[in-house]
Amino acid sequence: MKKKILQTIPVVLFLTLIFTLAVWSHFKPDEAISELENRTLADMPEFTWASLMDGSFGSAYETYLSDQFVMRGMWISLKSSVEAALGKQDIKDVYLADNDYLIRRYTDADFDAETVDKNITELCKFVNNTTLELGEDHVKVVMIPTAAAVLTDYLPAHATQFDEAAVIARLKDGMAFDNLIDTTDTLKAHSGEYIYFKNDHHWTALGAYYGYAQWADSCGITPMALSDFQKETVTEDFYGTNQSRIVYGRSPDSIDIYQAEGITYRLSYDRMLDQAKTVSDTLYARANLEKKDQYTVFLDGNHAIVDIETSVKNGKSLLVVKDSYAHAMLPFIVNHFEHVTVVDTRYYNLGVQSLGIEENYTDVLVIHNTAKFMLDATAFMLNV
Amino acid sequence: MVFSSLLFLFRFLAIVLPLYFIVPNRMRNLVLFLASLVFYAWGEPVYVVLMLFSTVVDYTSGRMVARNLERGNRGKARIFVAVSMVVNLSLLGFFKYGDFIIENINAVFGTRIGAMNLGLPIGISFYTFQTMSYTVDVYRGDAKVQKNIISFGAYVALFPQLIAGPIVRFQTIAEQLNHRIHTMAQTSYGITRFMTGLGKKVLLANNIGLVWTEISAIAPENLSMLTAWIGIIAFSLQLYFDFSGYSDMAIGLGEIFGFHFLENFNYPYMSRSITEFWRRWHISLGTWFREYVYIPLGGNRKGKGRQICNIAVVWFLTGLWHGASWNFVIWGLYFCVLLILEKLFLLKVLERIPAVFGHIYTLFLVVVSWAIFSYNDMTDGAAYIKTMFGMGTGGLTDERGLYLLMSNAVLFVILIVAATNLPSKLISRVFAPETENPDRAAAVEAGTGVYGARKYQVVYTILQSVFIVGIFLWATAYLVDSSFNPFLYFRF
Repeated sequence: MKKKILQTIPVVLFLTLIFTLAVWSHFKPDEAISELENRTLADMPEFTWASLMDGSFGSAYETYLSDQFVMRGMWISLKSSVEAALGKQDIKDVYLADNDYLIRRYTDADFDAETVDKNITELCKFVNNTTLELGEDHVKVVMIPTAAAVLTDYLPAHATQFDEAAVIARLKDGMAFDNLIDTTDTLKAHSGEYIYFKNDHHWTALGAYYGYAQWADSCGITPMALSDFQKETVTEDFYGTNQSRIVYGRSPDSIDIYQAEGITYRLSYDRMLDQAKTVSDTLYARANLEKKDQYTVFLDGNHAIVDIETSVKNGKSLLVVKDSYAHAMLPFIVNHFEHVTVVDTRYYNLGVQSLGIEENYTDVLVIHNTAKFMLDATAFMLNV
Repeated sequence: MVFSSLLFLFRFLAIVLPLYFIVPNRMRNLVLFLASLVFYAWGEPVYVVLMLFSTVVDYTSGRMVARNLERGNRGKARIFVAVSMVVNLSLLGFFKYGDFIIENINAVFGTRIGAMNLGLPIGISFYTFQTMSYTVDVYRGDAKVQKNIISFGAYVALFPQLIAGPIVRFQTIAEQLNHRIHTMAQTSYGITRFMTGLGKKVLLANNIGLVWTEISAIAPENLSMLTAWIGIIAFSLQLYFDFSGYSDMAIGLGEIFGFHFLENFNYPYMSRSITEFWRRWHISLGTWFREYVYIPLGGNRKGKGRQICNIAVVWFLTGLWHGASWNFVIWGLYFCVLLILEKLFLLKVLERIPAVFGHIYTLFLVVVSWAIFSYNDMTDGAAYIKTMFGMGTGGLTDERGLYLLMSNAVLFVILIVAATNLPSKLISRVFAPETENPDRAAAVEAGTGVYGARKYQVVYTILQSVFIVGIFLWATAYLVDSSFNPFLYFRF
């Protein structure tokens, strides 16, 4: 008798787990987006006979089930914690690095050689043509390395990363003039400082300041000193993209912002969508500090195009083509121009050439993170 | 549908389990049959028709064989065995090997016949072999004919072993199809066995699979020797835990529904010879080829020359069964040569030298065989093996190899220990009785063996419960997290 009761226990446990999660996941209301993962979640697929017969209903339903599963974040976090305990040095290509850093691991397998070749060709063509129009001092490309290439001391032993220097060397070779600014060494010189976020792939405003100073020097502009800016810590509770990927972070980041004294701004977002155009008088969208992705405090995150008018009346006008690494850097750069247009080719689908570079701008600046540049599928927009 | 998915655990099982146990005994085969069709059709809504066709053909030929045998007409009975063979092998030949045949015809004759690009029906290699075994078993008198088409359909489509085996021969479960008992001890054992398999697949195989995925994505000639060995050892472990995990899940689910399937793996990586390895690896496939090919060809009863010829035929077919590509044939013949050598003299040598040499010899040759197995493109496979033997351009070691080794060191240790019988030996040493039990059906009724009481039953139950809940939660975490859920045996 006792034996029978004991043998029942595992059965009851198993069934309880199955039915609890089955019923709970069935009745849990669906969520439209996941803040944590920064993406929209799958809806219940629409049933049609055609989609059933070709199997697409079946696979869409499985995606739906996994996207809407109860306590998604908790499960992923559980998995990461166990893997960390098992001594894994990266989880889903995020290194568990020293000083509580989570650093994205990119290997050659992450990049498509053809895309990389194409992006290098497109960027070099754009820069060479534009330099002929505006002059060498007025066209610059700032390349920002990934954290793994700078914070090498924090990485686990034998950590392997793709060869960023090789990509930068290829860009240099492809450019006829001295346009390229490789910030790797500058950042490495400050690698003991808080120049990259611990839980996010971006650099901090401090890191961006060092990048800015190097850019300014290279075009013969005297960079403003850090002390010329008013520093303010706007959050101490920021968990970014790398933490989201594995739902595992060991200590939160803080975000500092720097404001130049006495300069005013007028920003208008997304001008090609006339009605949707929004206007602001600050470089920092503080409302976004309430969101999961607090990095969007800088310039309100990704937009197709932003026009910035400053109170600096020097007649200089800058076109910036960039990815999101530029957001932390632009608050320093804009203070040297009367007008700045910021374009992101991933969202702006009219092509950079449609902006009339020679007629409207005195300077051009391209700002990219090496890895993001290599993954970008829209580099051709530079020359359209 | 695969077992290691949220869909299977929290939708399929949550519905089928209660349904099966609520309905009266006589309707249970119907529930199993219908559930199995849904299980199959989820991923293959069209090809389910193929499986039903094969079912009907074998049901009919089985009955015709039985009827003709009753009337003493063996000749006519043989015709129906042949019908079953021809239909099943044609299905398999057309859907699995069609494009491969076309490709080779084009290569030899310079023709330009277009490929059919049909996509392999899931599990076709398994269910065609099972249904053929039925007709043959009936003909040989090894099993009674199954007159109920629902019960026969339930046997063919039985979802626990439908898509990745083990290949359950009809004679194994013929009795259980009509009469089976369900005891708490059996369900309890089934659940534990299922969770063992789920853990092996989701936690061990998938994890070590990441290492192989990363390494196999690199051109083999650029790997360092160290990285190549780490990669192929990772693949060897992945393959074992993936497939044996799947077999454990199948066996466990079978027990829950009252069936006793035969074991499919018996710690193959502990073997001391290749002969022993193949008695421990994918046992149901080896048995099938022995029972339905090797022995009918004459086995070892017609002299050494004929025996070697028979071994060659069996291993050519075994290789080809694993996939429609020449590398699988080469892989099969590689083992054929080794097995013949062992039969001729090597086995005697291996028995005389210390056991450790036998283990090293076997593991080494098996691991090398997986390199042939894993690359359909034989130039890549050859380059990989060259790199393993220091003839690559990537040097002896590199940072990538060292990193993957360090980051996965604990996992490798766990996997290597788990591939031996140490854990199970330890459990039966402490908790006795022995977990091995040849006659499961008798053991269930008597409440002995794996279904029986154990020493320290309370402690045992606590450990068992912790194991089940732990694996359950941990595996669910992986399934929620991951779109990385490849399934290696879908190709076969």
